Amino acid sequence: MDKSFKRKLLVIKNLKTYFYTYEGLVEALDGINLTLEKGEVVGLVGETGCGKSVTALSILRLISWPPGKIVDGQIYFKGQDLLKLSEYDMQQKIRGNEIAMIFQEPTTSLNPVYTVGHQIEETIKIHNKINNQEARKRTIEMLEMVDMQDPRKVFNQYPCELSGGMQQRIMIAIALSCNPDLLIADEPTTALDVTIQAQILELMLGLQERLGTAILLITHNLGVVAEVCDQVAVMHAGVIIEKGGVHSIFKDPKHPYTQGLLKTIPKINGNQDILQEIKGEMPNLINPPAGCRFYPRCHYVMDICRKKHPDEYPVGSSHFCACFLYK
Amino acid sequence: MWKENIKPALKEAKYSLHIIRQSPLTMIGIGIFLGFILIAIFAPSIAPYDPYEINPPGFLQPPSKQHFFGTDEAGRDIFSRVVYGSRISLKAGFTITIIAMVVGSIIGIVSAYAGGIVDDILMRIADIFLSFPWIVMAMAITAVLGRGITNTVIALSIVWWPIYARLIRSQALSIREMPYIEAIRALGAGKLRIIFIHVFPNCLAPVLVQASLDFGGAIMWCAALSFIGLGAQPPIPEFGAMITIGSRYLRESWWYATFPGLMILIVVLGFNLLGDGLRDILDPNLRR
Repeated sequence: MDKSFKRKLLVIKNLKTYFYTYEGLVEALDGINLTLEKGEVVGLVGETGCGKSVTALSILRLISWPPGKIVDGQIYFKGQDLLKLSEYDMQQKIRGNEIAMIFQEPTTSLNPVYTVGHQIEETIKIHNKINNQEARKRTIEMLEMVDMQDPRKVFNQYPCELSGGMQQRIMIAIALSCNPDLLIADEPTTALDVTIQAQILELMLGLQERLGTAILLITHNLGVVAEVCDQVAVMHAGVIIEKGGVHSIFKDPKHPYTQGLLKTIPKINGNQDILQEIKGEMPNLINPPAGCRFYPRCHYVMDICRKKHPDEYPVGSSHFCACFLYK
Repeated sequence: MWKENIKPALKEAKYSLHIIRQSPLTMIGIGIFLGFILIAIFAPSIAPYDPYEINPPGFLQPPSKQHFFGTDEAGRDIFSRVVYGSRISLKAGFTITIIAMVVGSIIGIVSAYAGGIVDDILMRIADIFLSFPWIVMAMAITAVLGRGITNTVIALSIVWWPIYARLIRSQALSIREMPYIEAIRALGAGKLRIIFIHVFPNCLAPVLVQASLDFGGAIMWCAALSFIGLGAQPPIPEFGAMITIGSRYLRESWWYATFPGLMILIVVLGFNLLGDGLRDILDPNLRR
């Protein structure tokens, strides 16, 4: 058996997460394969509802039952399978300590009844046995690290007194407070305006370089991905359909969906009159199309697409595409 | 260190004071609340006579300089009795509200967080309590336990907790789904920490408002049970018990039932004003 995954930071193999709802079985993740090296920034892109966030929550085992359940697959983090860990180990050793997460809505991701400083301290105290003074010192350091002008003042402020951008920085400070090896950022800039987005991304990348944290960046903003990521994985309807280096994907997209996705970006110098779109909608995951989940929207649909699930075929150096065109 | 920690709390207190100052009714409510507590604490120094001291020749005297509120049928000073009565009522109101709030909150929050069959069982028990006319139920419990102020307090506490259980459960159910709860879960907080340190404080605002309103209610219903003869027994200077006997002499001696009655009115009004004020103070929309 291939043991190379022991050296990688995160290896997701054939991950399947299903939701058992009243209307039927939702196959939200249908066999995800993804690898992250240490210190790498990987972008996970796709439309709303394609399973990006479910992937993130599955890695942390935060899918709540009912209705959700991880039914199959392995998630190797530094060689150990997270799905086989006890809930206690998961809580104490993994969540917040080795893998931290930043959420989409900074305004509602901080508890309104506690001060910012208290919340950073709390996370530090959960994972480290240190006294109040040290925790406080570390908290001030974290606030300085995320470029807060006046850390001592911010320490005693409530979340509602801060702007969205500042709140997101606090979230980053909390997430990085225990030096995690992997940071999952679930659309960290979606709720912020463009100038602040750039600041937050710059901050995250700066810290990533300084601390050597790997980042799994979940987003639907292709511009952000092109700017910051080393590797990209494109998701569609619960399946990763294409993955590879950021250059090869943007220069030479292989999968019809990725090609369509890149065409939807307006060109700055373009003489385009009409903005391209991908025809059709994301398939209903309760009753997904048999075979390739993209075939109802695909221009190149062949007979085999309707019958079989495509495997991942190599289409270049470390560039894979799940499409029968490249079999 | 200690000073640093208290700083944000102080800042919040200043905001609260600012809101209170803008509302004269809240000021009145707080004034009555504090006055009532002070009267209860310093009853021995305020009351000019012993509330139990009888003086048969001076029975049913109208209000005068010696007896501000007049005397009762045994010549006891009604002013002293009302002053001492506030001690009994304060204790009863406080005990009932605290027991109901603590028991109700624990049951409610456990119910919300555990869900499933635990939730069903606890909430059906609460339903059983809520489906009876509760004052009838309180009367029945007092009748079983026997008359007396302690049993009245127990009975009212028993019928009062489901209100809080319901209130905090509904709050906790919505708070549980907030992104910050998921965020703290993703950061490695355990179940107990989430439920008591993160969910619970966010549910408190409506509970505190309800409690301050119920405080007045508890005092009133305690007096009501005493009035119908189930609570405090004469000669204990309890408002309800005093009104019962006073009502017999109402035609000749208006002061006997009137002053304890007025006291109940003022106290309950005060607590209601306080409750309304508290709602404004705790309303995040009005805060900044």
